[in-house]
Amino acid sequence: MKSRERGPLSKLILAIAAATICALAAAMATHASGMVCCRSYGTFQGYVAPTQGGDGPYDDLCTDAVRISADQTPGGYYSTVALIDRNGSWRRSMRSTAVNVYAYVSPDTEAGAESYSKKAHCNNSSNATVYFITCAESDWYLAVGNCV
Amino acid sequence: MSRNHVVRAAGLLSAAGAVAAAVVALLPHFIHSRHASARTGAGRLASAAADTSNGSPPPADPGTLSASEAATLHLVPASVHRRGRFVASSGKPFGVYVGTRSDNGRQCVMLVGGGGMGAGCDPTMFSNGPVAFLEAFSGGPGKRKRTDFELAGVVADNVARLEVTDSLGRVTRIDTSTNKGFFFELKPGDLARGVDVNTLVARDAVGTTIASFDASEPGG
Repeated sequence: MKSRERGPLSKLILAIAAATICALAAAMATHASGMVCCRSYGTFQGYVAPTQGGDGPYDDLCTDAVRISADQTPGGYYSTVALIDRNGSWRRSMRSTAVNVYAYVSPDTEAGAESYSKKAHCNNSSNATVYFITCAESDWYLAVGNCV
Repeated sequence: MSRNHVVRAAGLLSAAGAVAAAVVALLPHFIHSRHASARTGAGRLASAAADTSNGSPPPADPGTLSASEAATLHLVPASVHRRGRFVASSGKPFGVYVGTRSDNGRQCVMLVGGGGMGAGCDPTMFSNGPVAFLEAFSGGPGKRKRTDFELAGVVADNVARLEVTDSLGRVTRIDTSTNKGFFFELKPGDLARGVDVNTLVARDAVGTTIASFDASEPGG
């Protein structure tokens, strides 16, 4: 009677095949339920003199939409928020005396906004006043799997 | 190893190879689909917020506040009102909106169009005077590198018109009597020369100055 026991090579091949099928199935499942995720982080905060400001890190090109916000204390002075690309060009900027100033760019508002790497910038664009500013960035991206 | 083992191993190898081939063949599809989905990610946000029935992202309407833009500011839907729709000299449409945030009650003036949405939010709409406004621009940071510049917002009920004075001393009058929304832009030729806005003056119906804003910006 012939033995039905599989050899080590067969077991290895079976394991690889099973793992591949599982990975493929998992990829299909997570793809079908891709999640729109949001990650938010502060880029910098502190007292800034006129023309002074700071930048956040460049994104990883996976970002669909970016919102940059500058909160100033006490308010009433100009602050500017800008979306800067890798070439240093300011793609879209907003300036206001409001307590909170926002710039939001998405593929809805600028074609190809997700196709270039970008970073947030905030500065004090008043003429003669030092104030406290908190600069933050929120990114929206489509995740295959869970949001991180 | 017996012949049967060899045959079975060869069969399993073929199966694994087929799976691997399928993965390789489908991978570009997944990558493409993911990218395509990523392109419409904001549309998906808009779709979710707008609860569209077919699940497809609504077409982008430049100059109109989208659901995703309203969502990102946590605006109370019923509080959002358009105060004006304007077309720039480039042909690009812009919309001026107001709305109230649901999370902190702050009131926002928004400018939609030109490749983005901007907002300024304060405890009350006119915390800084009878004009709530935003400046928006593309290009820079040097003023001569700007490719467009818009100044827009809303005025209080007692403001009948605005006067914008640029850095060359030229004055532009803006009627604000309709919907209390306004829009001003610098022309490309002026941008190339580094022209900026210096002041914004609000006047009542008989021409009395109600408020004056220094809109000049440090740096070149």
